[in-house]
Amino acid sequence: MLHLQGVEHVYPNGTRALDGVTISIGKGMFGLLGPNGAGKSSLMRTIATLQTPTAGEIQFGDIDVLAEPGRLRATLGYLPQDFGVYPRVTAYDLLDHMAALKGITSAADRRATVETLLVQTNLWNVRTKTVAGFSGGMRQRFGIAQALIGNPALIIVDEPTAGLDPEERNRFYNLLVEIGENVVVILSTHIVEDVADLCPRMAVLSAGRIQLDGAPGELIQRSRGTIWARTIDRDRLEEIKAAHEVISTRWFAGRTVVHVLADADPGNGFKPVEGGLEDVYLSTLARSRRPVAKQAA
Amino acid sequence: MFSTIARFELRYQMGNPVFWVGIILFFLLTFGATTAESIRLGSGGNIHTNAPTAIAQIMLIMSLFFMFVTTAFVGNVVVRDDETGFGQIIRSTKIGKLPYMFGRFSGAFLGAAVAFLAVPLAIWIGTFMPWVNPDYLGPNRFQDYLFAYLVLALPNVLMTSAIFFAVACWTRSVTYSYLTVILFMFAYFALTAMLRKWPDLSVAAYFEPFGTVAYGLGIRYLTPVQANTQPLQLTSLLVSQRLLWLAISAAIVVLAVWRFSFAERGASKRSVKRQAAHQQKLAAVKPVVVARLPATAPERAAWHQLYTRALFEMKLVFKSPAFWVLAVVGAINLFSTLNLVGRMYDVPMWPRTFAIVETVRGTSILITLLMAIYFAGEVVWRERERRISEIVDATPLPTWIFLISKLGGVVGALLVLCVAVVLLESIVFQFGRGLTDIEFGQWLAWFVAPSALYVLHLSVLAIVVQAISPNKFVGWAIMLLYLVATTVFAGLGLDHPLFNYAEANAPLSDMNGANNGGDSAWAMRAYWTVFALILVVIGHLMWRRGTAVTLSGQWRTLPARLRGAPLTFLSIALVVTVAMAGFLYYNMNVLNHYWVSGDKEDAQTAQYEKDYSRYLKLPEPKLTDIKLDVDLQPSRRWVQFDGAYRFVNASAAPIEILHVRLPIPTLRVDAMSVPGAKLGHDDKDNLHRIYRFDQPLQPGASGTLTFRTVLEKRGLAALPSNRQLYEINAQPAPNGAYLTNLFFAPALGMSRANFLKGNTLRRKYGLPPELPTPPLEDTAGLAKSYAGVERVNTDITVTTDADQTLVVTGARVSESVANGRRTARFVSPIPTLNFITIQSARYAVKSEDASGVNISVYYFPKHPMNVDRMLSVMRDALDYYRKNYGPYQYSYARIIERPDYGGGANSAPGTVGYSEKAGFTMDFRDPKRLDFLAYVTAHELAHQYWFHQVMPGDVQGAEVLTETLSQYSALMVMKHRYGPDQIRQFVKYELDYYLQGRRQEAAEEHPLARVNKQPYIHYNKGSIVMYLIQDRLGEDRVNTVLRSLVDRYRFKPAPYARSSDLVDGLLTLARTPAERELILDQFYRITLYDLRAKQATVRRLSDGQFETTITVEAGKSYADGKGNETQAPFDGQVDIGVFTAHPGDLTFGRENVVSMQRQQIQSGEQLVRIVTRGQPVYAGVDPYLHFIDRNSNDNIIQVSSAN
Repeated sequence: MLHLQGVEHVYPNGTRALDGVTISIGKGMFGLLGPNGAGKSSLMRTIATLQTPTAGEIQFGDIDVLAEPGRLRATLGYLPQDFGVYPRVTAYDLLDHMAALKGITSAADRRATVETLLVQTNLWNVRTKTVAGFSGGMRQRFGIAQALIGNPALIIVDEPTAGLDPEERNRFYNLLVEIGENVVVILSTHIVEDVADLCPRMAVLSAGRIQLDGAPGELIQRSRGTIWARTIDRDRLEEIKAAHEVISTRWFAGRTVVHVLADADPGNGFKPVEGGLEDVYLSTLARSRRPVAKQAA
Repeated sequence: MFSTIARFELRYQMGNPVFWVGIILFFLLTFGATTAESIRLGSGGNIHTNAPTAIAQIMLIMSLFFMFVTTAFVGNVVVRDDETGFGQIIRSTKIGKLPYMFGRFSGAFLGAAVAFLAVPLAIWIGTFMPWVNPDYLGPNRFQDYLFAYLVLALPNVLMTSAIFFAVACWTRSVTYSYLTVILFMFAYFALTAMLRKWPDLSVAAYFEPFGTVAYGLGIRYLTPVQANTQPLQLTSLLVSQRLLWLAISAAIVVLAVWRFSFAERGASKRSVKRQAAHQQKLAAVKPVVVARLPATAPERAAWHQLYTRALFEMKLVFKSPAFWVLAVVGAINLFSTLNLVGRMYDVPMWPRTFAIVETVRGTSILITLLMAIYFAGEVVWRERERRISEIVDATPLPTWIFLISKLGGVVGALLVLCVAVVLLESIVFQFGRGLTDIEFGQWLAWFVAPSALYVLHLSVLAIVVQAISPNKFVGWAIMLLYLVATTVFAGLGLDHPLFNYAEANAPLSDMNGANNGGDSAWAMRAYWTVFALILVVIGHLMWRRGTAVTLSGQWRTLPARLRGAPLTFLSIALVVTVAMAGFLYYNMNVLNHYWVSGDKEDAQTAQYEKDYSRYLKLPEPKLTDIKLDVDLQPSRRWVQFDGAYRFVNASAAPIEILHVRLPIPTLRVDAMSVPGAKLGHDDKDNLHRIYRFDQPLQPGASGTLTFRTVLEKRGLAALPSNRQLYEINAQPAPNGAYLTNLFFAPALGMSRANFLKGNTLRRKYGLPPELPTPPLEDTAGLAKSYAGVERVNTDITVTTDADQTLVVTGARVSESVANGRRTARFVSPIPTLNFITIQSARYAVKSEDASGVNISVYYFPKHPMNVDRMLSVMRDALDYYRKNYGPYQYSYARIIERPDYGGGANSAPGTVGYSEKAGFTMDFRDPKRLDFLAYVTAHELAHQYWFHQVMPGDVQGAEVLTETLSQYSALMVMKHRYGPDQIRQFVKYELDYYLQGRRQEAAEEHPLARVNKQPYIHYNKGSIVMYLIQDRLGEDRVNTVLRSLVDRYRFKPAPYARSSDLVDGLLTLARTPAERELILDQFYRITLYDLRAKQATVRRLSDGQFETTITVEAGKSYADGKGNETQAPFDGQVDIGVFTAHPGDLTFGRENVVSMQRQQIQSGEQLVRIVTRGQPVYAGVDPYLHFIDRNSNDNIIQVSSAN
């Protein structure tokens, strides 16, 4: 459905946010993982027609997005990473206004749209409250409600669960999954678990490039035999770090569990672990940083 | 703790950019005001730029506007912690609320106090600037600065700090604090406007927080010399006023701190309950739920999207608190200005639509400017500021809708507020004043449509500026620069209408509608509307949709986005704008005369004087007869004058040349000839012709000059920027033509009248100082008449439209109507001063006979309100004048109304002219109001004697015979009409105007008999002096002197009369040396009295009568022309009165006078006892203000009981 070919974006201050992104995304939920500053939001905004890439092509179905942004917008649902709302406007009115902006001229259609979405997002009982006064979760649900107006064929949600409690997060994902079956949903996040739970396909974006893409299970499979773990005392961490490529450390029963990346058994007491998606992700990031680290050294 | 916090706060504030911006801003403002000659706050005239009073004035004004800075300081104190989120940390420490709040407040106030030092510093530095005229400077004295800073400025800074600290504590928002500042400003100006009307200013002083009234009362009667030299006085009033407001400030701070809570406020029980009920109701409604959401159709939704979006923007503006603050401020401003509009001597005006539209539009424009600028910034940046821009930008909204819908929202909101609401308020005001003839057509054409277009133009400009600005603040700054530029450009001579965006004005009149420039104003509005379209296209092209879109990026990609509709609109708008500009320029500057103004005009006038002044001394022929044939076609706006002059050589020498001056550049001369003479010189720029006689005109010989001149309006003319030219520009008016020979007929001979006036201006163009008026003793000066025109015989025939009434100088000898045209002939019964007026309008006429004189009022049929009052006062006045001064010279006396183009009342032979707003629309329904209409009418009629009969020579004191005696005549008419006890109110006005007038004297104050074109002397002082004189010498005896003046000079040629003739006559009436000195004091010296009732007590005598003991203080001083005073002994008869009401009250009358007797009073303090039957409440010395008292407010005092 959505094809990106060599998309580049360089900001006026010289920052290269996207550096030749090429990827194809089909129907269903697609997870885009990446650390902060990897260029996720730039990529999302570029696909959402909010900024024109410096180079590259974007095709959605039969739409040449760069040439006809209007046509993409007509079928786009977009929930930005960080958004606010108009002051002193109620949820109902604002959703109604958004429906009008999306091009629903009939009042009856707008009413059906607004009320259905308010019920779906469980906001029906707070519809007369101003959105500006909503809690983070409510606001996020409102965000998804507006993104769903008019059955968009492409839905982009950028870091939607930041600041949500687990219950809110679940409710939010349930909504997404329901819709995500027949349309393209791009979910950008830095929470590995979300992608692991929801997305049949995913990609890792780092330093403006797609470092990895595929189905999560497949990727975990592929990483087998490259991740090793060892439990150590905290004071030995520096020593380990110097000797190995550490991708994560965590506390366990007062001691530190270290995961390192190595194509072969590093010995030294390390045992192979059945890596999760998190290990895949972290190791991808570690690999992507490697050349830079070497250059720096 | 407290001092630590205060010190930290002070350091913090000093590191804050606001501190430095405030210092720089106020330094520059003050520096500009001190060093620019054109601004001069608090000084001017003879008062030095650094005079104690000027320093005080600047400090007062600046301390008022400084509240914008103090608010930033103290507002920041309160809000800072909440904004940064640091508040919770601080409030959880052990710092108590009191030291925290007081400490911060003190620190912020100290910061403001330090920042305000920029003002005295700027004045001081300003005095050293080389370009400042040293004439305007006095010595710098540290004590003057210290006094002004400590007594005037600092308490004001503290007060504004306290008030806005409290506001910030309450609102916890800097924005709201600023809106409160604006509200406060408006409320303050409304308050001061109200206070100005208070009878007792010393009470008003306490209500005025900034001390301007309390301070002003202390200095209001200072002469320039005193103002320059006397150190400022700490009067007891000023001290108590300052202490009162310091106490109030302290109370405000304490209250604010006490009410301020560290914790956030929780919800009350009641609101929780209400919430629950509301929730239940909400849950009860069943939503419409569909299985599949309806599809969108953005490609067909553009108009609906535009409409929804504009409405949404409009609603957001309506919901903004700033909108309501500005709306309330606008309404207050509108009502207070409407209440003052047209008020003269506190007499209100009938608020007829034509008379208030300009004021209403002014208010509307003010709110439009504020709102358009403010909300343009808000709406254009709203999505970005609220961080919803990504969502909105990603919707399928067509890009053009963004700018247009925001424009629609702002225009819609402004139309509601600045047009609809203002209109409604104005009409409510009219109804409230009892006016039912609302003239909806006038409202529509003169207010609604122009204001709506102004709203559109301003909104377009403000929004497009925001659209092309990098951020909101730059956008606002650009708009502020635009506001400054609009005023500065006009000063630089760039005042052509084609340069002044959105400006289109035309004066309005009930009689003449918008026929003075109304058509051009509409053309200008159309022009600016098309121009606004260009702006809209630019704004649209530069609109930044999406993220990471920069202005420069938009600029680079502009050509690509220009293609299609934008290019079409842009090119059409450009072509139409250029075509219209060309068309308008052709109409305004080629077809019609374009009035230049300012420097260019001054330079030309100066050159004219250099070229022609050499002719001034040569003898000139004298005009004797004028015959005019006038063809007036009002509806075509065309009038032609065929004239014939006869002149004679009345001098003893032959005359070789004849100067002919044409009055105005808009007058076309179709023909002019002087038989026996040739046109030797025709200066078209200066409108000056010189004819040379073939044979010099011998003494006694006569000649003729014939001319044909035409005045007409062609196409669209620009209004002159000088409002004084509006009346001339309007002619010939379709209804209410007012044609005077001063601008339609050539004038013979040289005249100084058109030379540049004002010595500073003359010096600038290298001209010698103005010729002084010859002194009173210069008998040669008596050969020239004060009026500067001859007495001539006039024979004028005018033809106009049949439905109009003609009134022309002279007696009507015939009138006929034929072919829809009315022709009337007017002939002067006696030679009259050469002031010819021709008036033609659809008048209603009311006439009466007043003992052989036909008195009539020609008025616009919708203005009958004061016609009977005018007729009755004409009758009273003519009766008085004929009885006391001698025969009236005409068989008619007329009052004629004309459209209001800024003119007031005037007096032509046998005629008094009033413009619509002066006289005809004054509202006298409240009988307590002073009858100033009668006063002015009687004054103008008196000129038929004191100008038209008795003509003074062109020497000092001439105005005593014209104006002072007319004032006296009017006062006498008033005295007989309303009784002597009512005259005090007139005299009080005259006294206050005189004392203020001498304060503003730029050159030198002259004694009355030597007055030199100084209205405050010959009108205001003259009234008081003559009233005192008739009171002491007797009205009838004074009138015999006046009658003998009339007998001696009536219609006589040179030598003309002079003021000493009057004084000499009055001196013959003196029965004692004291009376003689009194007369000399009034006319030949500048004499100021100081009469004061210090204390008054009453006790009941055993016989039931009341004995009032009054402590009277008296003093007298002589002033020289610069205001230096010398004490003189006072010893004279003064009225002592006791009353049951204050003689200054509007309701005061004869019945309130318990006793009034004349007693001998000397310099110094003395006790006066008065025994009366009734019990007095007030006692006073000179209670009716017969003497020129430097403080007339302390003459009357309340009587207290002795036991």
